[in-house]
Amino acid sequence: MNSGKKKFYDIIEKLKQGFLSLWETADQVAREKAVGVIEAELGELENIFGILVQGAFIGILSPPMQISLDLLPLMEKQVMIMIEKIDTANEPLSHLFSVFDIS
Amino acid sequence: MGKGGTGKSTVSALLGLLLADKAKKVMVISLDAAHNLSDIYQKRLGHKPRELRPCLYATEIDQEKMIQTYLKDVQTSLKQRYSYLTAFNIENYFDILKYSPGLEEYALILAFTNIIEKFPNFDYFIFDMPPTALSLKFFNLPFLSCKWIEHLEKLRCEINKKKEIISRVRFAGKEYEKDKILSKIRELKKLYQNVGKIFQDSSRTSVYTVINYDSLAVSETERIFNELKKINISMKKIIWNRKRIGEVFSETDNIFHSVPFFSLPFSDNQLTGFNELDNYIRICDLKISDFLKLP
Repeated sequence: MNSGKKKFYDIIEKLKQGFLSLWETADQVAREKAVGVIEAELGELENIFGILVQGAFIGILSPPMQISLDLLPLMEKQVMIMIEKIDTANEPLSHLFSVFDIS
Repeated sequence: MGKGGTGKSTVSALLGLLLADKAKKVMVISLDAAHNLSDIYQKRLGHKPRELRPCLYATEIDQEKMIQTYLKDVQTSLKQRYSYLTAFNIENYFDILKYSPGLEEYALILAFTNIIEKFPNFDYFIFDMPPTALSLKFFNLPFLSCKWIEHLEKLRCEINKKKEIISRVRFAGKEYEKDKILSKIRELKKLYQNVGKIFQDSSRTSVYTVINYDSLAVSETERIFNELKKINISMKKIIWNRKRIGEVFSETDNIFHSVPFFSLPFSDNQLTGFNELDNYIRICDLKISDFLKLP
């Protein structure tokens, strides 16, 4: 009887763990989907910011030079984003499709 | 302010002497790259202020040195923060950056703020300005920079809002790192706003335009007046330098009706050296009240 009860509780525990694991996975997927588009927006905004402030380095109108220079030491990340963007510049549509999960 | 060769440096030198004679601690600062102050005072002047007489100090700002120091500071900061390769790539630009448009007037702003911060015990600073075009850029720079900074601040706040959303969703509201770029932008905004306020405060800044009377000079003075008016800076007085006996301005020159003026007579002698300058002040009976009202 006791071993029967024990087996029952083990099964319940395993089911519980299974549901919890499923829940965590579903939660993670939902969170990723929720932020995915915002992250893409964020990437674009950071890119725009980089272009606005440091555009002179890629041939684009920029603010008074001293503002660009004063902010430059704090903007390594934005400079790297701009350099990375050059790789996808030839295929902007495929990048956009991938963001919106269109296949 | 004024066209090149109108006698701005001489007028600055005279005003410096008049103030020092009244025991006001005064520094005359030449911001014009074509420095004349050392020739007028006949004393060697450099980047560091030098006492010429009791209460009278003078300096000639080395613009190129200011730009180079500034760029060097930026480069040092880059090397400390960037990864080696990124810093290496950007460093190549710095050799030509010193020729960038905008840095010349920024060097003057740096000189201006350094002087007023480093020497708070002076009663007066007389800035012998470069010719009109650069002077107007100098006065405009804080306001133009503020417009850009406000736009960048707005965009940066939008970026941070998105980061906050992501942090709340992904990291259950854990606080993300403080945005150093936004802090720097706000620091720059404060700097430019403060400089702009100093320029616009007529109790702290008086702009004198020096002219040698002719139609071109009058047109230019009107342009200066209008450009300064756009940024709420008033012209204190027009100084009609090298006025010859019998010379009068034309009634159609409206600028003389809008702005108070006084004249400095033409001198046959070269106004260089303290003897000549003191002589000129005595002969023309020049008083400090011709220029400004002492508190």
